[in-house]
Amino acid sequence: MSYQDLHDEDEALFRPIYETSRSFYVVVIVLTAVFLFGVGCYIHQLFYGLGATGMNEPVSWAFYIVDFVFFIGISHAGTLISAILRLSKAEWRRPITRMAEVITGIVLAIGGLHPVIDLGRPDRILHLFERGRLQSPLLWDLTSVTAYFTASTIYLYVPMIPDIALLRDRGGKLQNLYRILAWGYKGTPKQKHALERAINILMVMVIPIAVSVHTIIAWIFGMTLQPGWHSTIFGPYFVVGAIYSGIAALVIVMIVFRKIFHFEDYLKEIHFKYLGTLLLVVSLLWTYFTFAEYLTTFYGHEPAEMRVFLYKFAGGYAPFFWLMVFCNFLLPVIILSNKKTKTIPGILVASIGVVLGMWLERLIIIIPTLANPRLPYPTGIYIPSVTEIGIFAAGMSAFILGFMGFSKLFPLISIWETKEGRQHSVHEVSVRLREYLPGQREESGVEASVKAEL
Amino acid sequence: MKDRTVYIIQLITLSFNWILAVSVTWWFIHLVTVADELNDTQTASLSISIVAITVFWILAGVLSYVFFSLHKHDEEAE
Repeated sequence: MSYQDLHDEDEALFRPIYETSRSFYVVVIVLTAVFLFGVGCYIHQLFYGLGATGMNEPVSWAFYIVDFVFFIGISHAGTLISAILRLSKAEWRRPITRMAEVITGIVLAIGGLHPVIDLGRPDRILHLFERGRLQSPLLWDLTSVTAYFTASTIYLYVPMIPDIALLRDRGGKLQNLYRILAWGYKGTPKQKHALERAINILMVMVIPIAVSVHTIIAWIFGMTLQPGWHSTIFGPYFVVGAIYSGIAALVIVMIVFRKIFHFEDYLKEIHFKYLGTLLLVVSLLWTYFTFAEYLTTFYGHEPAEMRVFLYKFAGGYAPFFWLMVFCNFLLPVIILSNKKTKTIPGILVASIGVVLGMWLERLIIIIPTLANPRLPYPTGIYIPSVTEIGIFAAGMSAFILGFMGFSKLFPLISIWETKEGRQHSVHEVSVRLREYLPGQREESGVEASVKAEL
Repeated sequence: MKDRTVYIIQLITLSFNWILAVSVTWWFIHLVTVADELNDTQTASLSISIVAITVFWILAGVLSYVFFSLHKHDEEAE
């Protein structure tokens, strides 16, 4: 079978590119309207300054920084999960990795803009280039986010080249674009080898970069002496939270696009069950970190720390705090630890809860500390303005629009990886399994016996 | 579109990655110089610069490796 002939088997994966329903356009129009409203809000803020927001003294970081940490956290859905699954040769990853990588690319672009929006005067970002201090975690953050965005985009693009070549060979719309992006790929063994080698290097590189991104974001808070922030576990705590919200966002996206594009044959219940188990494990890990963080604070009983602690547990932010505990711990654990509720709708509910809970967690980390600073200020009050809510809504619509736009240009499920899985994985996995078993000493012996059986 | 035009466009897009790597290197050298002028501690500046610059250069290198390998083997196949 030639390279060009292979595509027919997975026609369903090409369909979203060539067929567009009327509801697709309706959703695009609605989301574009929301996005434009957000742009209008930002223009309003440019004219009137940060006075257009609910931020004040002492709460000088609010919605934008919450959204920044939230979006960057979601970005861990992709590259990190995809790289870990590829590295561990988890065969069930094949229909998942592309969507995960797309999420990363889009949310990083959106999240990365939020600190600029938070500046009020965007031109001031130039000071960072001109007179930035490398000793500042803010500059580390800019560097790591840029590195992560670059690495993620390359990591999304390189494994997509064989699929782009398939689109080029099919002809039709945008053929010139696919010709440019396919980089002359014909599927020869040498080309495949070069691509595999590059993917291997990238997946090893991407993991520490992704971990560094959220660790550094945590250090922006943790390096200060502010009560509620100055913590040694903030780095890993943020990374766990990022992976947690990332998996949840990935599950939501997978379920939605599975329904819209009829990917039921590719995204099966087993994929969601595995991701559900992963979500449950990370949920328990997140709870452990949260418990450790707050128990240490409570046990120390330092007055400034206790002000923040009580503000979260029984003060103005108590409803948000307890809702976060419900969404991030009780809801997922109850749903995902029970076989009867660990179904696709159940996992969807748990994932929506986790995404909401993780946004609340970012809110709870940032605002109560600023509202109750170590210095003798009265407790601050923060109520988000329409401008901030509008920009957040624009960010969310940009994410969905970006994903929808991607689905119109490229396959959402990696076609070549699906084919590769179909052709080689059964054999590969059989050999690997035999190697684990006692009585099998050499790989060549195992391979010969598996071949004989097949 | 002619093959030659496609190749030139591909080279231009690839060069963006190198422009980024070179810009980041230049920027970090500039920031280390600023830190020196301000008598700031150099340890953090140098270690962060070395790590960041390496990452961007490796990324650009990997992408170039893919590009030239695919084109080389494409010509061989033809």
